[in-house]
Amino acid sequence: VDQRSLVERAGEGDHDAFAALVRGSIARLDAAARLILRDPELARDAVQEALVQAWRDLPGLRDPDRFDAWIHRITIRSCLTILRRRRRRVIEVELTPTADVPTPDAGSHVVDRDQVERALHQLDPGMRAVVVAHFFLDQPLPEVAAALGIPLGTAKSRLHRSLQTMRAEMAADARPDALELHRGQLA
Amino acid sequence: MSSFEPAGRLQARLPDLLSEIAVPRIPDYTDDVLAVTAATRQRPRWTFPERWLPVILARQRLMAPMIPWRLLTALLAILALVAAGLFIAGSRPHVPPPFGPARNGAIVFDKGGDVFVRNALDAQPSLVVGGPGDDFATGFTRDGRHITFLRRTAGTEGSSDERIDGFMANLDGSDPVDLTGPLIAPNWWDESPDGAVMVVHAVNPKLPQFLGDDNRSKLYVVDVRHPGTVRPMGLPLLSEMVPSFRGPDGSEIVFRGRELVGSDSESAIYAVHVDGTGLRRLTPLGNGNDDYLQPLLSPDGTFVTYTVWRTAVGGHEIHVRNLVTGEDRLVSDPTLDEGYGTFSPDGSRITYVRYTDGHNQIMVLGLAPGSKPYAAGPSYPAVGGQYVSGYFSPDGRYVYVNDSGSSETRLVDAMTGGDGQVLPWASHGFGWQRLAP
Repeated sequence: VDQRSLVERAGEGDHDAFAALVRGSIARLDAAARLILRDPELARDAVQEALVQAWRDLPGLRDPDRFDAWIHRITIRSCLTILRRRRRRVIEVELTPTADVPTPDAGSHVVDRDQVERALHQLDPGMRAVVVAHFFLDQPLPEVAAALGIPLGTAKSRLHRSLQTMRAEMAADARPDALELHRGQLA
Repeated sequence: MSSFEPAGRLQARLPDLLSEIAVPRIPDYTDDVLAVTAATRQRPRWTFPERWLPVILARQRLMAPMIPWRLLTALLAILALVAAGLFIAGSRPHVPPPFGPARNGAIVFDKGGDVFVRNALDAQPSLVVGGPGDDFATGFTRDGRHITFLRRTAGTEGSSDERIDGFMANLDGSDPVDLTGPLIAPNWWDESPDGAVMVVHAVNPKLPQFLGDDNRSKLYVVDVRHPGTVRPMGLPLLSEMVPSFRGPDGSEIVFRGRELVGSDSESAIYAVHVDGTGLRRLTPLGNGNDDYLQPLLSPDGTFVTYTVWRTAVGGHEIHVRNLVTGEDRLVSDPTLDEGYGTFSPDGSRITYVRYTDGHNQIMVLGLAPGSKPYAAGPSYPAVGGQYVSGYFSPDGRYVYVNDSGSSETRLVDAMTGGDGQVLPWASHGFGWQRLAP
């Protein structure tokens, strides 16, 4: 069964069809939410709220072929809504034990990944959402802008600044004396 | 220098690295989420008239709130005078006031993509616009000297490539004029009291399609004297929809809008002059998705009725708000799912939809304290995606009910309700001309 048929059936109230759609997309939605929120429990809340809204509003989706983009948008907005609700709470970041911090090595893939992860965490949620939506969910920038409710130019500049910030963080991270700076950091 | 220089390498590797960081996997709460959605009531498709439907709502809107018309009888009188060889110069049609009660006039309706006119409910129909064009959403201009209709000029109904043009023609269908050029989902329009301008909400094609029609809807102005193009109003809002000229003078357009608040959108009812100046909120801000749905004005412009979607109970409620004092009144039954009110010509009653047990029912409610609602027309099964609508006749004595699921239209006594009379020729409803009282 193709996705379009599933979306059409789900929009007419077929929950089995919706369940099939969810099972095909929830892994990526959950991962995106964890990247943006940095907290698996918050990600769970965000994805659940997004999927409930999607089920509720699916009859209003005009073009079934746009389901993926539509559900991505709902999830991103759900993440930001949850963050806004909790913005006064400090989110504790799990510290990486010193022994586990890899020795910087420009050729190491593991270092690359960890550097990117730490650099990503330095971004504010709005900028992280732009990076995750564009590079992980593969959304074109105009759709990212629309999902976040910001002008296209703002989305472009946020992406540019995000990448600049990440590069700077990774450059600092690559210096051995910079390792301690990341320990105990708060979101 | 990080290992990602030169610039560009970071971007190239980010998709893979993000996947490694987050490791997409089916989360263990998937079944829990599905249990929640299975227990959640899906929002009926008919409650998305502003967003999903390309034409039917426009069809109904064009039928009912297209308020004042000049006289079809004026044209007939002129023809009679010509035939008799009498002078006609200086004769001027007697027009109804732009807002408020009027006398019931001719009927215009569509069938099979063509447009027909009946001079009365029981008169023989005349084909006025035929041919291969797919025409629908018929109505009259405010001056009563023209009919209006929409024509699908590209794509199929509901498809992303569908394009719809707004047309005006003489009462006999001659000299059709394309007022708007191709539009995407022109789901609502209204005409200024002097007939010089139309304002329409349609989708801005520059916005991403996945947002859905409601998030892409913007207001456009049509200069009736210079047809063929629309001018964006260019309001500083995320989206705008359901525009109506506000009585008694029509100097403002009232509509539902959404604006950016932080990183979220919120909705309100707004007013603006037709030239785009004087934009102001008439209500507090509310939820962007759920509040201030389909705001419609009383004929005198004092009240607005709007609908709220209540997420917690999965239903709607209807409000009537005094735009002068700010008093806001819940008029629907809080234990039921009821929405989408439309005022009677004298502003004393509303029709609305009651949704119960998979059925749609048009109701009538007097707005005086203590009034009890009563049904107008039968309770129709809610066929997937279809819905029922009900509007008052120009004189307020009838409610005409259309069920798009069964393609049935009925005429019901507005004062007593009941099942009314089926009008077999009006499967899509119809537009009713207003005549001077």
